[in-house]
Amino acid sequence: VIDGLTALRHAAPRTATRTSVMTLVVVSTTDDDAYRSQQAMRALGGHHPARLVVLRPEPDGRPPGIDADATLFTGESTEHVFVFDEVGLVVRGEAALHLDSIIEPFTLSDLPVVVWYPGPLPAREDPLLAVADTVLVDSKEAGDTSVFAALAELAPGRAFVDLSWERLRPWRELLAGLFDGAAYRPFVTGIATVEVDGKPGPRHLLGGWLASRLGITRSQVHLTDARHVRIVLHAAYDGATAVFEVSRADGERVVNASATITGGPHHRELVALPEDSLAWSLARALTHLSRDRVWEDALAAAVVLGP
Amino acid sequence: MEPPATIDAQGIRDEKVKALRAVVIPTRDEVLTDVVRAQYDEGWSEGRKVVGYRQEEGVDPDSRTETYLAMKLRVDNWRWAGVPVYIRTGKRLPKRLTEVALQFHDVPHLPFRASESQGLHPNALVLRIQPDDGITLRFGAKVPGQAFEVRDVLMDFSYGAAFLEEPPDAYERLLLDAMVGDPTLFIRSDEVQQAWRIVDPLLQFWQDGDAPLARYPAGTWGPRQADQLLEREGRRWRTP
Repeated sequence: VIDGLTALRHAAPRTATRTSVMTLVVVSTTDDDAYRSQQAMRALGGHHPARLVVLRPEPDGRPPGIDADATLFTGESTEHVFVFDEVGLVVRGEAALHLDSIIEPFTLSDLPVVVWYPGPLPAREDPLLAVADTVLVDSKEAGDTSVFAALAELAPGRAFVDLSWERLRPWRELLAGLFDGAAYRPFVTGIATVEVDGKPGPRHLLGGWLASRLGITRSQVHLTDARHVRIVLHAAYDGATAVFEVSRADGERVVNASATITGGPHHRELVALPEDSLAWSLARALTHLSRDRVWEDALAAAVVLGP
Repeated sequence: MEPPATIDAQGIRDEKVKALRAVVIPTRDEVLTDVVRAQYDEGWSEGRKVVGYRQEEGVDPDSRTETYLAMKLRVDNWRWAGVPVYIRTGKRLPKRLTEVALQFHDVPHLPFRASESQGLHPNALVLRIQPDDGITLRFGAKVPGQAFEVRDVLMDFSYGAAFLEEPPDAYERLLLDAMVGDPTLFIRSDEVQQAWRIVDPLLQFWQDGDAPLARYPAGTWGPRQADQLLEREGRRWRTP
């Protein structure tokens, strides 16, 4: 396969920039996961050119063996043409339990290896975890809220990036931004209750984030099932009360953020949500490959919040 | 080696011999601390289960022949004094490649917070001998955006991608040189002697006594002891 890639590169346009910033290994349990991840990487290839290795492990597959295909993908950004490698490997039989031995020859020297699990979380003994510099997961897609406990066990000591956490970034940034004004800032020390609406998973993660950052107890956090995210903080400071709210209107990709001090100033802003695509959240996630202590704390607190 | 006075057989080979003569032979104590030899056990390599060295066909089941070596060498001359040279070679490693990496010093002071420079390694110039011969410069670059984060990136030159002509492979060049009588890239007898001057004491030491022979699973980068060899000095092997 490596020889095949070399031959493909020789035939590539001489003007193309051959570059990579990482080796991205996708462990897909379904054809759909493999296809979606491949399409997302192609969409953002110019931003994070990587050697993409898409693994399709089939431990019970027969006959044992490996099917491989290699592609040199050519893309075009605003200023130049670039190329990067894609390798697809279907691994049948016992070798599917030793994927580390298969991907090592494909990893690019001196560059981080990111292992992405678009579906279920890896088992603790998954040998790929030892090869990975960063593990990419999606806590929303990985299952119900029990994944938080599993992630909290896996994450310590490793760099994990959660795509669900990245998708929640606009809400987190907007809510934090409401406390920027001098009149509003003192209320951050007097949060009485937190209400978080949303789907299971994201609302737990947001609830965990707020509980861990604000240092409040479980009984102060109220989680409610809803289609869209909505966060409301009730706060008191120096005899005054205030409400901070970030919510999305149904059917619109717009977030409404407001801060209201009873009998005092009121601040409101409308912000358009970024595009809802796997490529977008992946682009954001791959920009920061190091450990995210804030996410780790949010995760631990989400486990305490329970289902 | 130093730049030769002339690009011919004598000029180049003289400099190679000079470089080898400057290599300090490790003492017996240093062999114990600065050299790790090992033999592979069974494991998984490129998706296949492979047997250990002692189970290979035609190998003595009690063999103590090393299949792996990691060592630190000193080169005592004007240019390389104080620069440790680490060598790692072996069979059944995860990749088949030959590289020389010159790793630059850490800067005396890093003005960034630890969280801003996580995953950042010292800059390095890597001479790739095979496969994909070329040169790579690794350095830290700021990740675009408002937050300050630095990450390793590569500046890459590849012969295969830069020129239309295929470079001759090693044996093509060797045979052509032999036919035209050009000895430049052939090893001269004094170079052979100098090479054995370095290796012989090690082999002798291992033959004489019951020197440790570490073990590593096939398909890995070697035994834990090889990692410890560098960790003792606050370093770690690069990821080739």
